[in-house]
Amino acid sequence: MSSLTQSSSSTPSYSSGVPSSAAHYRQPPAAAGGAGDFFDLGDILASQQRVPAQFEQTVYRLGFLDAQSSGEHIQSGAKMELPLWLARALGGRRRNIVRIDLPKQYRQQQRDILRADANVVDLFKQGPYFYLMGVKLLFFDHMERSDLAKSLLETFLNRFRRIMDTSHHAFSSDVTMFTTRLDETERVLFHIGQRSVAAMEKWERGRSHRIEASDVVQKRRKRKRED
Amino acid sequence: MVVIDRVKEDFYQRISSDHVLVLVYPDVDSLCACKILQTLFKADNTQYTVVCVSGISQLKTAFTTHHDKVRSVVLINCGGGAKLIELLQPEEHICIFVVDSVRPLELDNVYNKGQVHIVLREGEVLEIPDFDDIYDSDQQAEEDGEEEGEEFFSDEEVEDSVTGGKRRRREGEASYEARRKRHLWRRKREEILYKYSEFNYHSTAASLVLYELAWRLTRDNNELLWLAITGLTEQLLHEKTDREMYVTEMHRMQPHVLRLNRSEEETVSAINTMKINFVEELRLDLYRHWTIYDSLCNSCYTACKFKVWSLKGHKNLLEFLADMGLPLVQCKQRFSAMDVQFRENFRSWIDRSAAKFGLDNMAYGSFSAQIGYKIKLSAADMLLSTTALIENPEKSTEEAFLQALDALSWSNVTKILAGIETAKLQQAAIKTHVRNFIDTHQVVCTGPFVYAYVEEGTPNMKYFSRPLTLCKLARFLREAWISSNKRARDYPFILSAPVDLEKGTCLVAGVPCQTEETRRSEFRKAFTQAADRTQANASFDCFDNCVFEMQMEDRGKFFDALTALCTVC
Amino acid sequence: MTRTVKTFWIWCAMFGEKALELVRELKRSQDGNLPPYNDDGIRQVVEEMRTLFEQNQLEVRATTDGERGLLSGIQLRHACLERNQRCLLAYVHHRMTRIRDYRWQTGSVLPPSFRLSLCEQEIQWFTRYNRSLATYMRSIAPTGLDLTQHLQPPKSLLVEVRCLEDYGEFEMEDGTVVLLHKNTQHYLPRSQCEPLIRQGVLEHIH
Repeated sequence: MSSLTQSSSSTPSYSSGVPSSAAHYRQPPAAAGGAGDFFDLGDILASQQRVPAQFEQTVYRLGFLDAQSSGEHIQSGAKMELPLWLARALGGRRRNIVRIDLPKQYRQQQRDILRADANVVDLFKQGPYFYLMGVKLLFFDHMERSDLAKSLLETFLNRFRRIMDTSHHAFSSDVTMFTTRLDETERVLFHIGQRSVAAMEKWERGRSHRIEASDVVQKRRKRKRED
Repeated sequence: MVVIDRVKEDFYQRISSDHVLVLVYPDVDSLCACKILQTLFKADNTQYTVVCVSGISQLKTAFTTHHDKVRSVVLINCGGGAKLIELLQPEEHICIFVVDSVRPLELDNVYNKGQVHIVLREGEVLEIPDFDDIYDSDQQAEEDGEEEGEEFFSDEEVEDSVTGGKRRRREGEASYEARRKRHLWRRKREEILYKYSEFNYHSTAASLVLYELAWRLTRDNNELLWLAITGLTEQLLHEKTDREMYVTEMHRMQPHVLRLNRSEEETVSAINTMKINFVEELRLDLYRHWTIYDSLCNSCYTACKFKVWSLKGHKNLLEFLADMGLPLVQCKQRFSAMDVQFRENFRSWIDRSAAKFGLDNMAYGSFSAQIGYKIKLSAADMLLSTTALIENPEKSTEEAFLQALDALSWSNVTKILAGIETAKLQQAAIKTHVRNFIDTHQVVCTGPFVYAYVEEGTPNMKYFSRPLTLCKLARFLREAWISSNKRARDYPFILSAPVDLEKGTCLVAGVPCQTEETRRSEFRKAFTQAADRTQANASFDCFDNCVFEMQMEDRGKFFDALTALCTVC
Repeated sequence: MTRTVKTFWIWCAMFGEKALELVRELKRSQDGNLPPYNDDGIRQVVEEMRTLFEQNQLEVRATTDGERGLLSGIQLRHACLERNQRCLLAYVHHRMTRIRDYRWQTGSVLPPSFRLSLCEQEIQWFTRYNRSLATYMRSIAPTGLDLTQHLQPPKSLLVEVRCLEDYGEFEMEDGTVVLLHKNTQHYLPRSQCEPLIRQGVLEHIH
């Protein structure tokens, strides 16, 4: 999974055809569920998603974080939705300031739906970084961990075929309907597929050795045309 | 006299080591010639720069901006009739090569001693007056006078001073003789020059000259041949040369076609190859890419023969279709979508019925090309498409020129097909316009010529502000007018259309009369004289001798002056 | 102390929101232009970090003085500090990567439109990067080797190009000067046209 996050950071290099240094310099892949790629913007945004958590200790002088109570301190037993990075810091393996629960989209009910038919689910709505977030959730020690892991893998496998098929064969603009239902990871794969088909076609038409204007210029031209 | 007929040694090998500036006039022949030249340069890794020039002022600007960077300049279909040394004032090391089909060539260019070279096809002979009749004689006359004077002085030393009086008389007589001789010579020179520049006509197309060069360099192939054929077809269909010359040139092309298109097994036809063969082409524009009905209504020849703008003519047309055995429903479908039996027999049916309905000159010899499996183009299709691309009203001349240049390379054959679509729109616009003209009786026959104006604000006016399309409209209108007024056959036709509404200028184009076989026109001379007389604000910038631009307010008196001039002649 | 902190953050339900906004801004602009350097945003994030740090320091001192139960608060604030740090570093790093890519794609000259989006330090970084790249390229071969050229294997010595803008005079290596006027077509050495094509002045015609 984390190697997918690597490719998302090097996405600019595919569009330019120039081997940008980012594609060559790959940071050592972190363990799944680990810190991830430190500098990766996608990873940062993924770990922003909220998880339900219950405080097991009182936290003094930070009561303003709890929207429901108006006390000066967060009382023990208070339930809040914390962003994942915070939950990890407070509720990880060795700390027990909070206890983490799985968010709604990763619970048994949703997993059952995904097992039934993964292709119809709108994963973008379930959190734009469904897979990344799911992998990060595996870091926490709770009962449904192995179930969750299996479910994530199965979902990915079931949807993958459809994604690669569509990316290779659909050229018209109705793909946007399709891509709006994909989560970020899947979208990256989709675009890689489309780019490779375009490159193949370019080669077939004998245009692959044309020197192209750089990305910056092409974007500028596209914007001028749209204006 | 520096006229090159050994194209390979004296022309190509001299320029292929430098950076060359190529200045091209935006018409189909020049475009094809330019493309052939580019292919040759690319094979030899010669650097070049291509600039489009549509008039003398543009030629001058392009030259002055680029000239200090290059050593060789090639002019294609531009500048042959202008005094190049005077106009451009090139430096000593610059060589200018002119490949121009326009005649007569400016004599200064022909007789220039080293900087201007005219490139002709091997074996072509220029009909020009002798050098002595135009130039040196002047100096020689002076020299003669001086020599005589000198002789006198030496005689004087020998003779007695007694013969002084006689001497003075002899002096007087001799110089009077010299002056009289010079005067006669000058009169003769003027006459010769007048006769020389009286008629404008076209000779070998530039693309044919350059194709021959490619052949001599053994670099010719089907693509270049096809370009040459397109250039040749322009000469016929845009009425630059007469039928005979076209047929002669076509026979010269035949051996090339046969050599490069040896028909081996019929089944061998790879996706990227092109095969050219000789066909009898119909004078139905674009019929393979259009519907039969549209093609019949919009092609100049058939539309005018049937007079499709009148009710009776339209009925005639329908009868013609019925006689051929083509149901109307089929005729209104795209040719490629027609039933197989109709498509295959179309040619034979039309040949059979054409004579019955008076369409005698329906067919002419031409070539067609098959590219891959799908695309079949005739030379006329190619010509119409390229003309439409060059004169695309939505782009500036230079941009359209470059797009058309792109379209000529075979990897971009889709652009030619797009050009065909534009050409269809253009043809339809032309026909609608002609119909308007005829219906509203806007064509005026003043005696020595027939003329008409395109009014401002007419729809599709944008098509007609370019020379090639304006001439097309003029030809169509001429045919249409003649079909109803037989006596107008012997008169040339002049058409004017607004080109720049802000500046208030209009373009005036002349087409020679229908019976004029040799395609020689006197328009340039007549137009210049009439403009001089009325002091009209006119610019004869364009390289096309039949077209010029002038202010709209001067139009009326210009035409009056032109009428007066022509009635005198 | 707590009250001032409370009013300061009353509109923000969680720490790290501003830093996240910076990250989001960059992520949105991945397909478009680099947005201008968000000086303001960074300053606010640093402010937040300082407040958190000071508070933590207070509580650490209080704990060493004997107060109990403050550790979880310290933990929480520390996590926020680390988060902010991560966002800021990612922001700067991502921009740096894009500027470096720009050098490889377009050349060593920064056009004014691009320059506007960069802050002073980024421009300095670009200059220094240019310099190290140039030094490295010079050191590879006796005559220097331009690595930014020929990023695709060249197929021919000369290429046909069309001029899209009025560029003016262009001097080539062998001394000849070509005038690049709009809508003219040229056939020129590939190595010298390549930078102009990448900049968008010329267009490579097949």
